[in-house]
Amino acid sequence: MPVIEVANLRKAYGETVAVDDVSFTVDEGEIFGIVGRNGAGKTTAVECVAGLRTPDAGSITVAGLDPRADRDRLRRVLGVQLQECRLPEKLRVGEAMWLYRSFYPDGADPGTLLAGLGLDGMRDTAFEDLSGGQQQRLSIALALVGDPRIAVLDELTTGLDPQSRRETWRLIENVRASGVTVVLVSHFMDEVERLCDRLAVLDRGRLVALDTPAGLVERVGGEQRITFRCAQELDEPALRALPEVDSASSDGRQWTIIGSGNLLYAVSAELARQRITPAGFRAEQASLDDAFLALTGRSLDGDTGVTEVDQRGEVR
Amino acid sequence: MTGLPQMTVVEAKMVWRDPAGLLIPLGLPLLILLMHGMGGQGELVPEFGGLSGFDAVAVPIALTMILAIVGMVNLPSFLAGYRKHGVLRRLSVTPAKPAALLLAQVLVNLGLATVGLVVALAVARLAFDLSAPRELGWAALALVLGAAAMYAVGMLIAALAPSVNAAIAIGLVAFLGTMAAGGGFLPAEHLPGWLATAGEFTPYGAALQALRDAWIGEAPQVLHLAALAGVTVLAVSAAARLFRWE
Repeated sequence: MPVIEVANLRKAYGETVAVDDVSFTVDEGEIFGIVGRNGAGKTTAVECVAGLRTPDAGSITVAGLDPRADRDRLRRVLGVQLQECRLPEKLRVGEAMWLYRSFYPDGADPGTLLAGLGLDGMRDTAFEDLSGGQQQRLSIALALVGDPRIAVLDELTTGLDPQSRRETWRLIENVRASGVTVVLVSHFMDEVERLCDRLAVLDRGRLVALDTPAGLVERVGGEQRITFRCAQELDEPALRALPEVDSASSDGRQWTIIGSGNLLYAVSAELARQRITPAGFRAEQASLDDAFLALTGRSLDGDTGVTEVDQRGEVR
Repeated sequence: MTGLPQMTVVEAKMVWRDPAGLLIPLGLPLLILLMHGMGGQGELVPEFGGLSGFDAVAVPIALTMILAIVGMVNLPSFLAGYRKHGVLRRLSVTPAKPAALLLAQVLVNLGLATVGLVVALAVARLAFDLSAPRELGWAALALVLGAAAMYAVGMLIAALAPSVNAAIAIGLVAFLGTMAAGGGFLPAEHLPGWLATAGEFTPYGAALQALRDAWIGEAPQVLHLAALAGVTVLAVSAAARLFRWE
C-alpha cells in the first residue's frame, strides 16, 4: 500500500524547471531511493513531499495527507533530514535531542538513538566541536527522534568516512526493520544499491526510470564477462556447453568467458569440477552506474563499473 | 506553542555561552553611568525638577541604551545567523514553528535587557545615590513601550538583512543613528531643530524623552508614547510580511 503518492509533479523556479511531470509511489515499509546528479531535481522533489514547497502542478499525498494543507499533521508522521542545516554552534548534542524530542507528543528515546548512531559519548559536546560526520549523524538522529512513520533523508552519508557510512547504512536498515518507510535521496550508487528496494532515477528534472536496482541493471543488458588465467588444460567444450555461457575464448594464457544469468556460479562450479585453480579470476558485470550512464547519457560518479571477485567468488 | 519552554531554555543557554554578546549591551551603558557618575553631575538642576543631571539625563540615556542594543543589534544578529545556517529551515520540518524560536529569542533578550536594567539601576543607586523616578508607573510604561519598539525594529532588521554582518551593521547604524538624533550623545537642544524633532520620534528618542519626563515627575507626552506604539505596530507587521525562514 503506497504511503507516498506523487502524480505529475512540476515545480519551476522562474525559467528553470526543477521537476517536470514526475510521478512515483512509495510503498509502506520500503526504502525508496531518489537518485540523480546535482541539480537533477531530487531535493526539490522531496521538499515538495515534505510540504516545504508548493508544486506548480500535480498532486502529492503523504500518509493520506496533503503536505501543504495538512502541514501540521504531516510534521508528526514525517521525519526529515535536510542538507545544509546546522544547529546553533554552542548547542550540545544532548540538548538538541531533548529540544527536538519536546516537539513531538510521542517519540523515540534519545539515548537509544544516540547509541545507535555512535554519539553516546558526545552528549555534552557542542555542535561546533563535532566532526562533519558526527554533525550528519546528529542530524539523522533529530529526523528520527519523533518516531516518524516516514523518514526522508537527503544525502545522508555525504561527508562521512567509509566506516561511518557503513554504520549509517546499518542504522537505516534497522529503522526500516522497525517499520519506518524511508525515502533516501542520494548520488552514491553503492549506497542505493545496498539499501534501496526501488529507485526513481531523475535527470534534468524528469523521471527517467523507476525500478528495482537489479531491474535497472538488467535494462542495460545482462551480459557478464569473466576473465581468468590457468596453467592447466581446460575442457573447453564442457565450459561452452554450460547454458549460461555464450562464448569462451583464450589468448593462450587468459580466458575470457561471456555469458548471462548466474554465469559466475556456473563457471566457478565447472572449474571446480575440472579441478582447475584459476588465477586472477575477475568478473565484470553491468553495474547500477552503467545503468545510470545508459539512462542519462552521463555517469553519476567516477565508478568504473567493475566488480572484482576473488577466487572464492566473493565480492571483495 | 509546541516546544516554546524548551526553546526558551536552550536560547538562554546559547546567550549565556557566548558572553561576548553580553559585553556591549550590559557593559557599555554601565560604563556611561560610571563616567557620568564620577564626572560630578551631582548638583541639583532646577529645570530637571530639582534632580541632578545624573538622575535626569545619564540614567535614562543608559537604560534606553540597554534596550536599544539588545533589541536592535543582538536580536537581529542572532536571528540572521539562524537563518543563514538553516536553523530555522531545520525547525520548519518539525511540529515546532520557527515563530516559536523567534518568540523564544525575544523572551530571552527581554530577560537579558531586564538583567541589564537591574544591574545599571543597582549600580546607580548604590554608587551614585540615584533617586527613584517620581512617576514610577510612567517610567515602567516608557521602558516597556521602548523595549517593544526597539525589539520590533530588531525583528524588521532580521527580516531585511541579507547576512549576519549586514544585520549587525544595520543594527548598529539604527542604534547609533537614533541615539545621536534622539539626544543620547548631545542634548537635543544642541542639535539642528529639524533633526532634534525627527530624533524625538525615533524609538530611542521617544523612549528617552518619556523616561526622562517620568523621572522628573511629569507625565510623558502622548506623542512620544504614540510614536513608540506606532513603530512597534508598523515594524512588527512589516517584519511578519517580509521575514524569510531560509
